[in-house]
Amino acid sequence: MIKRNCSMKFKSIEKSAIKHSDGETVTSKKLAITMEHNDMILCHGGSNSHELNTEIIKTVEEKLLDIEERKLVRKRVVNVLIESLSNLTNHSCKTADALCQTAVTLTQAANYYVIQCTNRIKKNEIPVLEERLKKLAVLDNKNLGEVYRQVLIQNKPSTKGGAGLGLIDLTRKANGNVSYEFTEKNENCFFFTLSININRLKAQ
Amino acid sequence: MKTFDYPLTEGRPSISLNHKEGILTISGRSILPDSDIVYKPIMDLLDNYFDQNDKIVCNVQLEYFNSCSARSLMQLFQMLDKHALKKKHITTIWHYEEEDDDSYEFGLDLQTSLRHPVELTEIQNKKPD
Repeated sequence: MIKRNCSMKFKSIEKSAIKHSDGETVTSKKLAITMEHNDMILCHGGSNSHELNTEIIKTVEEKLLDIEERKLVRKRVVNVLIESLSNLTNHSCKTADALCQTAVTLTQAANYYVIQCTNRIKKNEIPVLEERLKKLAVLDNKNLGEVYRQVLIQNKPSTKGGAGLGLIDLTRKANGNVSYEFTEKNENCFFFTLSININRLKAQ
Repeated sequence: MKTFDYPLTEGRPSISLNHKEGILTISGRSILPDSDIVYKPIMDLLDNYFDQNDKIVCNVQLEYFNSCSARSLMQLFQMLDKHALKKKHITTIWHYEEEDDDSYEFGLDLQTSLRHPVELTEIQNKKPD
């Protein structure tokens, strides 16, 4: 089910994002990743690039291997993270003064992994995005699979460099356990937060 | 015709075309921000390949791929479909790791959506010594 999250979670992301955003170039040695902090596996905020995403993915893979997570779950978490990071890179509303453009966290609970991504979005982009999210929310996994296949066959690239498949793919891999929130930053700009839950026990 | 080999780099798949054997191999990871840059030249090369060759086996073994790459792969396979209609012998073998249900499902999507034969082959996990 797609539902709106409480704002507390969002605020915690925003804080960590600001904390790690120093405006300097981020290199692999300077990744703003906090490991082993409570249930937090990954927390990154700031600029976002393909190179940085590659480093983040590699680090998370190592962490999931360290904690001996099941391969099925490990691969699904990494798959969802890959798609989430691509979404952030492709769809974040970039502004010249933006110290904090994106934020991503990965936390673990007894039964779930939660990937939470935040990016800026223009106000006028919200209705189309929300409509897509609502349409996906009512589909079961079988129908999500069929929608994914149809979009794949049609093969139309989206206007922002993605494939138009990302959101469907994320929802499908999370068995529909996706929630979202729009939080106003100013008159024209909002924060969009997408939370994806991956069940550790029922993944199959 | 020149055989080419892209090196395996972070997020970029290894792609090679063996003209002699008629085997296209795509392996590694395909996590690309703009996958057309990698896959379009291969599609152009394959178009020329079929001027002189009648068959190809397309071996795909990807550990991870993003949706942008999924779109490009589908474009490549649809292009192969067009050659299959021209009586070229085309087989795609989609290799997926044991327990990787997401990759297996994508293979099923290909099997359902394409005209040429798509075989699904499971890669067994290596057992520790």
